Amino acid sequence: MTKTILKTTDLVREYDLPRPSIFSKQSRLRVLHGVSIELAAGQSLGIVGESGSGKSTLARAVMGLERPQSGEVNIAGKDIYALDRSGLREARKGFQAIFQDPYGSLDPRHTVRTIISEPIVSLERGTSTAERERRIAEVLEAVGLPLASADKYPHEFSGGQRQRIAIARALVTRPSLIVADEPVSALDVSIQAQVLNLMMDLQEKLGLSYLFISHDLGVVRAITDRVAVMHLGRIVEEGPTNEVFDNPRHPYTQALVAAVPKPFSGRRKRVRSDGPPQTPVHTATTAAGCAYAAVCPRRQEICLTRTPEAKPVTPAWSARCHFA
Amino acid sequence: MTNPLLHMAGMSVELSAGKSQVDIVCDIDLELNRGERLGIVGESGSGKSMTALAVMGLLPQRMRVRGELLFDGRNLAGLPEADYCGYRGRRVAMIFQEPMTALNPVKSIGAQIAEGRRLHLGETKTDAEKKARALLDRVGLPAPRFDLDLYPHQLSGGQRQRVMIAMAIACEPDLLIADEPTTALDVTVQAQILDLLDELIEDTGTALMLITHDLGVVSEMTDRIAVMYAGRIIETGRTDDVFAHMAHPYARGLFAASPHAAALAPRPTGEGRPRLNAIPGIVPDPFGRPPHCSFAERCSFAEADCRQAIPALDLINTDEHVPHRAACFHPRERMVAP
Repeated sequence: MTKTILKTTDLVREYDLPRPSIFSKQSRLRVLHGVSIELAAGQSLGIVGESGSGKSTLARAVMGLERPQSGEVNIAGKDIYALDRSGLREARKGFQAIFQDPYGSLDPRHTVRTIISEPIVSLERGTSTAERERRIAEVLEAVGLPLASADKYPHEFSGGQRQRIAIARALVTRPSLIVADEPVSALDVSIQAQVLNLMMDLQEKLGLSYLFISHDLGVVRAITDRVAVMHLGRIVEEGPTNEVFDNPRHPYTQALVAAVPKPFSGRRKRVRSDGPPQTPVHTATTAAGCAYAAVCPRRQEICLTRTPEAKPVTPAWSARCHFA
Repeated sequence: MTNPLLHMAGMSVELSAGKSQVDIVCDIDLELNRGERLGIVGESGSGKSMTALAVMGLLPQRMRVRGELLFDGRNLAGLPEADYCGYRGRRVAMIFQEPMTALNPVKSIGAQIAEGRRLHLGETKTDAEKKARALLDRVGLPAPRFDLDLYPHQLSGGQRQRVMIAMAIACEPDLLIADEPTTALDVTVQAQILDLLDELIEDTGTALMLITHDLGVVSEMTDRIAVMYAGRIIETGRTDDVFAHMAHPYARGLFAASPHAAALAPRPTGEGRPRLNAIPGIVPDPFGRPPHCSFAERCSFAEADCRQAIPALDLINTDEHVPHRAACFHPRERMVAP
């Protein structure tokens, strides 16, 4: 068995809701309902789900930016929320992030050199200037940007090049885990392919692990080995990417896969639905029953009374549905 | 058969920046008949949104339409603003990409939907609101949950897009322009909105101009497509036909680069992931477009003549009386495997 780089156990994250009046009881919204994921070294795990499913909250919890109310985040064998400040700073060298918006995530008033060297400056104090320059040159070369880019400003680059700068910044501390939250959603198709290819090349060359968050099933399919489908704060299906997308077991995954418009499929086959479309919403507490039951075509009595457990389909594939 | 509803011939959109002038969109020849569905596909900077804004008369200042832009026989290029107001919203309506920013946050949704009818059709407030109620029901936002006096911030993204659609169809326009109507939405919501659009077009018989970068959406929603690159149409024809024999290397490249294509190809179970077929390089910016085929620099089939002249939209074949044209000196011939 390969080494596990990232393991979360029963992550629960709740947010306080605003009180209608100062005398009313504080109510809370549970965004992560006990999420457990595991990512082996050198592998990539995709998290897919719609907006509001909690996938970005999960990413923030993994990055140590959002302390969960309960549960553990283990990165390379260390519980990051149990570390003290200096311990966490040391651990942060091992995991870095790439964000969605290549325009908003780079400071427009810093040169590329300053942007890329920031993780070294804050996490590896005492690194010599010569060493820093060497590392900057190394990552710029790795992402395919000319060395002269270091003295330019972000506005001089196109969207795809900016995302390369963001990747260079993430690589500069030589991490083993990269959390990428919608890294290519803001890019055009032809540029998106360039960045995805670069990410795959770097993964193979440097042995990186990716936690890859996206709402685009096609992108996730192209880059990940395993995928976890999130729905309202729970992982409803997890397994090898190809098998899950080719033959989804959970009704929510099936709905997602069916909803993607495909070229060559000819004119849309419409499902005329009666009444308003329904969307399940987050519940403040952990009510009994399946969260997807409200719209599920396979709903039975049991779905409303018992919360389904993750059932194994194969040893490496599980779905959280009574009828999977 | 009468005149086409929309007829563009040699239409360009010109941007003047200081003393220099540049064509953001060049030489568009396009026709759209009543009840027809046309898709315009391209990446950012290809000029697809500018083409739509030209039809709507909503081009930014400093931009000007040259050439012919006929709507129902009348030339819209250079039409005074006062005359345009009679078209916009009445005969041509537009659905914008961002339902969060396109709706007025301080007006109720009822007032926003009724506004068009009161303005264009001179209806009274009561009549227009009655109609607005019916429209909200039509787009799947029934009373009493979705009251006319709700404000946009009380609705989700998909619901706001439904309100936008209700506004657009309020005056029963002849042409509906949808600029990336579902790009900001989740896939399941996208499917609902596309179903709704499809149903409305079928029921009302309005023509649709759908602008998108998503090849899946365009394939499922349209009869004809035009693929744009660097301000020009580089391939056009019946949607099925273009998808089956993409002749222009850019159209092929765009398709091959999309994860759709990767998902279609069964992945070998062995080691390693196949790379996506990225198109090298970037889209040339409008001020630096070459005097020859603008895709030549990125094209793997480019030959000497590609760097000498701009190729014309030549006929490839004719499918069900619709010509399939591509602007390439060396069009590809092999079928694209579905």
